[in-house]
Amino acid sequence: MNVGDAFAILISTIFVYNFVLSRFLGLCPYMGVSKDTSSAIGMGMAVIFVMTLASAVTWPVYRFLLAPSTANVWYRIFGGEPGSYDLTRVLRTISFILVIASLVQFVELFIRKVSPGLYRALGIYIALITTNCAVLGVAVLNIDMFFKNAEPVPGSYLKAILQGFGAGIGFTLAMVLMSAIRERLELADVPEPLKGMPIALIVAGLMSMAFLGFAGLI
Amino acid sequence: MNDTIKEHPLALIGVLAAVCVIAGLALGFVSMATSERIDAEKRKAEREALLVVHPDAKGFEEVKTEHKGDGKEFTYYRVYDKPLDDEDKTLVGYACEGRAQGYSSTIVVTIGLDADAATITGIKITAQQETPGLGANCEQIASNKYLWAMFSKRDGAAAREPRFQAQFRERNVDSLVREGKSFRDVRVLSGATITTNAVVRATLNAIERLREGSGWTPDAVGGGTKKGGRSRAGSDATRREGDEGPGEETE
Amino acid sequence: MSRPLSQEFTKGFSKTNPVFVLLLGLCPTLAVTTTVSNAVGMAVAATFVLVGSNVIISLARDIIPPKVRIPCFIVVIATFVTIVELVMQAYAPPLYKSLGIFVPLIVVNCIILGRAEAFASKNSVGASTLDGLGMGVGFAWALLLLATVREVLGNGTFLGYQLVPGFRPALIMILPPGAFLSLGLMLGWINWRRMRRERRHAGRRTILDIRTRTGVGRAALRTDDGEIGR
Repeated sequence: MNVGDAFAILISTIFVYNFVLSRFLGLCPYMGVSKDTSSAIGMGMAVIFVMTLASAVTWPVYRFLLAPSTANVWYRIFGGEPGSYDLTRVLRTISFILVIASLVQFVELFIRKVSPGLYRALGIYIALITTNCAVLGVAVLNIDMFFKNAEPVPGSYLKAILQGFGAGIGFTLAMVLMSAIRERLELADVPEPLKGMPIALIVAGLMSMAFLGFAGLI
Repeated sequence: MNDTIKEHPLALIGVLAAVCVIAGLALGFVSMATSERIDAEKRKAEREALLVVHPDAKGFEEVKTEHKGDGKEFTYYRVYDKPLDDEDKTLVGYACEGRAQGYSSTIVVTIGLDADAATITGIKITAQQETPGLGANCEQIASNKYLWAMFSKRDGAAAREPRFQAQFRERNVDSLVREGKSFRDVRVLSGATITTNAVVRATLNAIERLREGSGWTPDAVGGGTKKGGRSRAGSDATRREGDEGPGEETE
Repeated sequence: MSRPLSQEFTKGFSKTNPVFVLLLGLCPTLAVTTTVSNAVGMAVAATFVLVGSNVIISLARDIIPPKVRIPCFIVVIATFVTIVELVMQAYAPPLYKSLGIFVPLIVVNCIILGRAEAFASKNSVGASTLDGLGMGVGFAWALLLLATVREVLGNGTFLGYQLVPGFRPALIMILPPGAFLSLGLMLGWINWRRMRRERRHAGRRTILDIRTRTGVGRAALRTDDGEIGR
C-alpha cells in the first residue's frame, strides 16, 4: 500500500463518503451527543479509538476464522477442501458484534484502571458506541471492500485499519461541525415545531448537501 | 431462579454458554435449510448474466484455468449454440468477467465475445453500488409501466435491457477508443461520466483477461482469429458438465 | 400489567412510534428509504427480528442473570438477524443486494435492543409479542411514509412504477441530503400538529371552567380557535 492509496482511503472516508452524512452510519450518537462542542470532541475521540481498534480486530477474525480460504484455522486443523469452510454467511454478524462488544468492555475497564483522567473524559461515551451502526458498519465494509473472493487484496490489513481510523475522523469532523452549529441554534429564533430534533436534521441535511460537493474527488 | 444463584460466576458463564449453544443450533438448522437454495440462486444469477450476453446460446462451459499473466485462478466460459452434451455443437463465442473501479464501488461486468474474440456480443453489469439516480442508472430499464399497470393484467414491457448496456451489443472491440479519460462513441450516463468510463474500462478489462488468460493471439493472417489456449501450455484444471477432450475445435 | 393488551400494540404506531417519537433506529430509516420496496423489505425483516427476540428474551427473562443480560440479548438478536439474512439470500436475493450492509446492521438497531432491555425482559410473552409487533408496525409506517416521499419526489416512481409521465424528479431527494431534510420536515410537521392539538385542548378546558362557574349558556361561548365551546 503506497501513500497514494492511503491518501485515497482517508479522503474518501473523511470527506467523500463521510460515514454520517453520506453513509448514514452512527446517526443515533450523532444526534444525541452533538449538542455542545466539548462532549462532541470527547465522543469523537472515543469513536476514532473504538473504530480503529474494531477494524484491527475484526480483520483477523474474518481472515483466520471465517473466510473460506486456506488461511482459515479450521482448515488447518481439520483439513479438507478450502472452499468448504464458508462460515462467513452464518457467523459473520454474530462474531463481529460479540467481538466488538467484548473488546469495548475490556477497553473501558482498561482505561478506567490505567488512566482515570482519560476515563472521565471518554469513558461514558465508549459505552454508547458499542452497539452503534458505525462500528459494525465499518467492520463489515472493510470485509466487503478489502477482500476479493475471500482472499485479501494487497495491503488489506493496513487499508482496513486506515479506513476505520478515517471513518472515525470523518464522524468526529461531522459531529464537531454539527455541535458548533447547534450551539448557535440554541440562541437563534427557530420556529416552535422545528426546535430540537427537526432543525438538527435539517442542518444535517444541509451539511450533507455541502459534503456532496466532494463527489468525484477520488 | 434464586437471585444469589444468579450472581454466581458459573451461572453467568453457564447461561451465556447455553444461549450460545442454542443460538448455534438454530443457526445451523436454518443454514442447512437454506444453503442449497442460496447456492442455486447464485448459479441462476450467473446463468442469467450469461444468457443476457449470449441470448441465443444453449451451452455454457465453464473453464477454470490459471491466468497466463499472474498465475491466479481464472474462470471464463466457452459458449456453444447447442447444449453441451450435443455432439454437433459449435463454438459461438466466449464470456468472461471484468472489473474496474467506479465512482463509489467496484463495477463488475460479464461480457460476451464472439468466436473471434473481436466483437462484443453484449455486456451485463452484475455488481455495482453507484449513486442512485446517477451512476446507478447504468442498470436502469426505462420504465414505461405506470401505476395503473399494477392493476391491469397486460405487462407493458417485458424485461428490457438497460439502455446503457444495450449500446455495447455487436460492438467491435477495437471501436472502444480512448479519448482522454473517456471513450469515443459511447453514450454517457447523464451526470455520471465516472461510472460510464468505469463500465467501459471493466469491459476492456474482461476482454484483456480473456485474451491474456487463455493465451489467445490474433491470427497472423489477420481477421480470422481463434482461441489457441487449449493446445498451448494452458493448464485447464477443471471442466464442468463434461467435455470430450482437448483439440476438438478447429484452428 | 397496567395497560390493556391492545394498547401495547397500538402505542407503537403513534404515541410511542419508535422513529417519530422515540427517535430510535435512524440509520436504517434514512438509508433504505430510497425506494418503497426497500423500505417494506427492511420493515418486514426488522419486525421479524424484533418480535422474535422479544419473545425469546421474554421467555428467558427469569433465567438470564442481570450481569450478562446484554451479551445474551446481543446473541439472541444476532441469531435472528442471521436467520433473516439467510432467508433473504435464499428467497429474495435482489432485496438483499439492494439493502446491502443494512441487513446485518439490524442487529445494532437501537429499537430492538432498546425494547429488549426496556420491555421484553420485564413483561410476559404475550405483551412482549404485541409490543414487538406494534413497534414493528410503527417502524414500518415511518419507513413507508419517508420512502413514499423520497421515491415519488426523487425518482418519479412508486414501487418502480412511473407516476406522472414526463415528470423530472428532484434527484436530491434520493441522495443523502434529501433523507435528512425529509425526516426533519416530517418531524417538524408532526410537532406542529401535536402543538396545535394541545393548544386546542388547553383552550377548550379554560372556557369550560369559566362556563361552569358562571353558568353562561353554550351558544354564547367560543374558544380561541373559533369553535363553539361545549
